[in-house]
Amino acid sequence: MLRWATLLDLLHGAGTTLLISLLAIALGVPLGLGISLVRARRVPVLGTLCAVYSSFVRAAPVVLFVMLVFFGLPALGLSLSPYVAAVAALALNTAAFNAEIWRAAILDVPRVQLDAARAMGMTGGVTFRRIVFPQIWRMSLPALVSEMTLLIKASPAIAVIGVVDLTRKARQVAAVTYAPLPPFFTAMVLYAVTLMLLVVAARGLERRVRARYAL
Amino acid sequence: MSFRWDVIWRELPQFGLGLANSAWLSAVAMALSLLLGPWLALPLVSRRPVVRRASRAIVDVARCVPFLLLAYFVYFALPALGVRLDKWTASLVTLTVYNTAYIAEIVRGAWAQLPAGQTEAARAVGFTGFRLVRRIVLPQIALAAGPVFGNQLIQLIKDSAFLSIITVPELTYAANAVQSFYFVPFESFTVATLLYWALCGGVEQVVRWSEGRAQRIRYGA
Amino acid sequence: MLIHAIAMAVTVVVVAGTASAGSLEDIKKRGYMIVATEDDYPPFEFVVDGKPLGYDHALLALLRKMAPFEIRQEILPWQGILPGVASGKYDVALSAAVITDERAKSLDFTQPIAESTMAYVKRKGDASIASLKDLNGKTLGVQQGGASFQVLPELEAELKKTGGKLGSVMQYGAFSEAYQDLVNRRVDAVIHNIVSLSTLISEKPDVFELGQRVGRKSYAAWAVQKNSPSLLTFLNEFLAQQRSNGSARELQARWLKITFDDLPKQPLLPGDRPMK
Repeated sequence: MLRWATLLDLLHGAGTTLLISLLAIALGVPLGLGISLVRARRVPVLGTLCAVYSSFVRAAPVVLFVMLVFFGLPALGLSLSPYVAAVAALALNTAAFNAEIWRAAILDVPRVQLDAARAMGMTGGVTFRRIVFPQIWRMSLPALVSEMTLLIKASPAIAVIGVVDLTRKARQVAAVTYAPLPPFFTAMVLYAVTLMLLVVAARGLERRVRARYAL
Repeated sequence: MSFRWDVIWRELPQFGLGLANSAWLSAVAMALSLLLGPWLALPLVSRRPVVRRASRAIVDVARCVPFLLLAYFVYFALPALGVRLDKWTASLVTLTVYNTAYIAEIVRGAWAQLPAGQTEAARAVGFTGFRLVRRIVLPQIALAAGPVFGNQLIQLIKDSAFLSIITVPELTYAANAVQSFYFVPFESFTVATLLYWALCGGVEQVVRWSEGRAQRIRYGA
Repeated sequence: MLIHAIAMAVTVVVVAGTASAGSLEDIKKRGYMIVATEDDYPPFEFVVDGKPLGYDHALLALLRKMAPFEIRQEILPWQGILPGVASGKYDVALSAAVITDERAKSLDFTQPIAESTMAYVKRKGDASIASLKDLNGKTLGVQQGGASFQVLPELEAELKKTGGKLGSVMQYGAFSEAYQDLVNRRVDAVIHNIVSLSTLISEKPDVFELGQRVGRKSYAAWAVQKNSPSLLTFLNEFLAQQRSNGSARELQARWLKITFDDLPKQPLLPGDRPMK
């Protein structure tokens, strides 16, 4: 069905998909936390901007957002290469969803603890580091991992700006061989397998977090 | 840094047509998968472990296939197996197949929230299979899981943007057509994003309105 | 604290990532030129196993030798190349872009590097299309943002003369998808420039067949942002040199399988009309 060389070629594309996805996740998770903190602390102008940004980005299809970042931003003076634009677009997109996840966890921290921390003289930074963060990252972990799988699932969007990921590789193979069935089927399987592994890992993680921290 | 919004204004009909296509494709696919989804939910809650596990695996794998790949597969690869669909049929098939797995999971999840005793009692009285789902389960979860279905519709609308790549003239396709002809990528894609925002916002409003009605139906005005 | 860090990171990215095209002086000062090429435009530009190949790429290699600065190449889909040059993201679309009236409004072109009159390709043995007038009502495949799309009004006018009309049009992101749909009978003919179509047919002679020319005679050239006279002169000097020393002819023979010995020395609009 598929020659070895072609399979290796597709795996090369899969590697690009994973690399870009991981970079986007590494940027998007902390960025989401930052946005949720800005909103939680009710920073005046920035807070509203973050809320609008979050709502706007979450409503945009990933493929459209990727095209906006790559093709559209140069008009504002920000010109990125396809690969950088891919990471940036995916990171900005996932950050908006992550912000909602972090926000839900932050709201769940009992007010009592924050008041007690202030009474004891802890500054905002210390309170965050020692009281808030240890709780919210555990609470958010399952949802964050779920969002990571959604990011990888949406990553084929980067193929439309020329990034040679698994999807674009499959397209290229199909274009040369005029036999689209093997490459597209193989690509589907590769994505599904990767995502399934992540889903299984996420479920295991969720169970362990619940068991250990009685959430 | 001059922007050519006049071009967008002139091509607004094309954007409007794209938005309409995005909307009706998503709506029809959602309706179809709402019909099929509950059927798929049945084996998920079957009392026979083999059936339950097999269907669980199928639904899990189905939810791990990226939408664009599925669309490519249905549109470009199926002809090699003798199934050649035009782009509209291919779109509806892809959207429906993709969404049904999610609907099945949502139904299953909401069903699990219902008091277990209720399902047992219904079964004891003779409601089984699809009658159980249609007469007992669905009416209750339809009210409770409204927001979840609404969210799923929003997801579906966003995924439908990938259909632009198989030349379906929906909103993203229209945006790309306009930008590549007039060289107005920022204006074109921003307007398209705003239109999606409006569409998704509309869906959220409808969900909130129906939630209000559901409350009134349940608890009286 | 975190917010400060984020703000700083954003500033760094913005400053580092910002590139804007300019005149030749700007390029020389910057030290590098950014050119954009397509990844699916045989025989002009295409990618095989990660390596960019083709007529434009061969010319780029020669240009690198004589340029007093570095040349960086971005490979991206067609829909991003011309808008990118028009907005200043890229200095040159080093791609055989067909000169059209619409494009001439936003871009300037070098002297032609090839003739690129439009034609159509059909399935081999499709007897229902024997000549241009048989395209009446047929489903056509073109490229989104391509010259193939821009030639449609001329085709429509031609069809009207014989009492026909334009059928439905499908706009593809890449031609490889259009060709696949041609094989799958979703479209009846695909419009592209005759050089690219000849390459396609030479690769798959049992699948495709060349049809007639569509529209007026047109040329392909490299595109730059409007009002960049120094950059245009630089590129034109290079191209003129390749013509006089025979390299152009040699590369045309190798990549395009056809030589153009009488290309005009100025860019021309379709139908051999001078630029406005």
